[in-house]
Amino acid sequence: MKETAPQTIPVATTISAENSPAAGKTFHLPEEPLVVIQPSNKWNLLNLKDIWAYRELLFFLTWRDVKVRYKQTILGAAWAILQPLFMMIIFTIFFGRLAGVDTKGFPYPIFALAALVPWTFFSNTITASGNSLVGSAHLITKVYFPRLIVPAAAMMAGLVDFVLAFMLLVAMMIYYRVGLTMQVLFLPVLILMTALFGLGVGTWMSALNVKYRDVRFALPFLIQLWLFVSSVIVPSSSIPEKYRWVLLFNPMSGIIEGYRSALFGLPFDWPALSVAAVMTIGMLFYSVYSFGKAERSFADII
Amino acid sequence: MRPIIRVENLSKLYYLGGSGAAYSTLRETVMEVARKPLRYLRGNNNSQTLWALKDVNFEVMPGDVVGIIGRNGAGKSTLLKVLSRIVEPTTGRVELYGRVASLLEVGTGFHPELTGRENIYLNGSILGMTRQEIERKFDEIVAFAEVEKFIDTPVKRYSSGMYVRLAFAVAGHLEPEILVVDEVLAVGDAAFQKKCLGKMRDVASMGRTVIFVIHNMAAVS
Repeated sequence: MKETAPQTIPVATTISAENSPAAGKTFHLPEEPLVVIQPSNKWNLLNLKDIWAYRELLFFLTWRDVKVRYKQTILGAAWAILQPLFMMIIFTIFFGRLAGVDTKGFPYPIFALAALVPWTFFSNTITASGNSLVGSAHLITKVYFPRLIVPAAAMMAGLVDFVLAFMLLVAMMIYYRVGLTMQVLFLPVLILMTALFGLGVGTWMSALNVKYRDVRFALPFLIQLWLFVSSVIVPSSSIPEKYRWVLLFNPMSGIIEGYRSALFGLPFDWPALSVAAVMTIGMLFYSVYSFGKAERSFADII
Repeated sequence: MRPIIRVENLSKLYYLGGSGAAYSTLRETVMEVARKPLRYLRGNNNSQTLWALKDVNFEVMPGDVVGIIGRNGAGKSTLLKVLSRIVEPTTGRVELYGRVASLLEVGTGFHPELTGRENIYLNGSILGMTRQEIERKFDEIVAFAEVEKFIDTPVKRYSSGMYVRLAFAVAGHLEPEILVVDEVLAVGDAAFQKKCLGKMRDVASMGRTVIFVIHNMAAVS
């Protein structure tokens, strides 16, 4: 589908002398068509103009996801906090006393929580995004809007939960009297990277899920495995030096360690973060490209 | 006078039964390849095809009210879906010189857990209205649907009649240049249907282009 720049269409509502079939009202038609619908044979780049035009829908879908999640629940938004909190407790009990875990002088609970809060954001984002398209099948077959909005809304809803969980993290940091350094200013960059990488993976998964429903079952399993290699439970320094380069293939490992560095004032692992940034951007481009290609047939096969 | 919609050589092909038609799991695809490797490699694995639309050509002038009638399976809904940009045509070209809003179903996007008020905003936004537009028309919509008292209860508690009235009320207040409607009028009781037809007539008389698909000849008038 190709769109040319829409021209403003003043609709004349005053009666005019021109004869038209409907009671004298006239339309001033644009010279170029607003929209041309034809089979696309070259790859669809992101139609940013379309997405900008539908930005309010993105907001409404996010709002809907957030509202619906906690309706008719007692604990409501507290669930956003309970998930990382309970994982932290369990990790502390089972992994807190592992020999050789170097928490760099910080108590294990806060060490784990600093990783669990962003990790929960990431894992919930890719789960929600991955299932979002299929879950919105009733919309996709009845209404047009840029389909990318669906996984994007799922990610934004996860971001809301992240903000709530982050407040827990702040509370814990105060409790453990962790001093802040200037490195905290790097946090927004890390949050952006987490969000974009989650969006990239989630978008790719959601497009795959439309064609191959295995994705719905593969995702939880994949996330469980991914957790173990993302430096959440133990820091990357626990891996012997000569194997540590393997972690570079997992951007989340670098990003999660980055959160710890930003919050605790530990040195940043710049190589890992740079690789993670490059992979995030790469993933985002790839997923948007493959999503755009697959988008044409969503309504046919969903 | 120039047309507001121009359709040239429009065709839509569907594959039946083969691995492209329904969703598949990886296992099914692997089995297909294993069983008929040559067929898969030749890309010829979809033996049954259906041309839902074949070489459709027409033009619609601004302000026209066009009714599309046909037997079941004639391709009416497919045509509307192509015009609404929901499915992509296999060949051909459609030029739209106005904004399209489509009503292929009443209550698109309604979520049962949300209240009537919240659903009006959600549904309005899905159909293409801006938030300001919805706020402006909010009272009209509620009055048209006659659900003032229930506007803040979750929609899952509505009777089916109320649900449909609310859904249609939102849809009826759309102001696009081109309105595409698919059999949505076949819902609700007789009094409400008359109200809806009245609204459709208003929309048409304001000079907007309307494309209908219906099974009931009387509704065309």
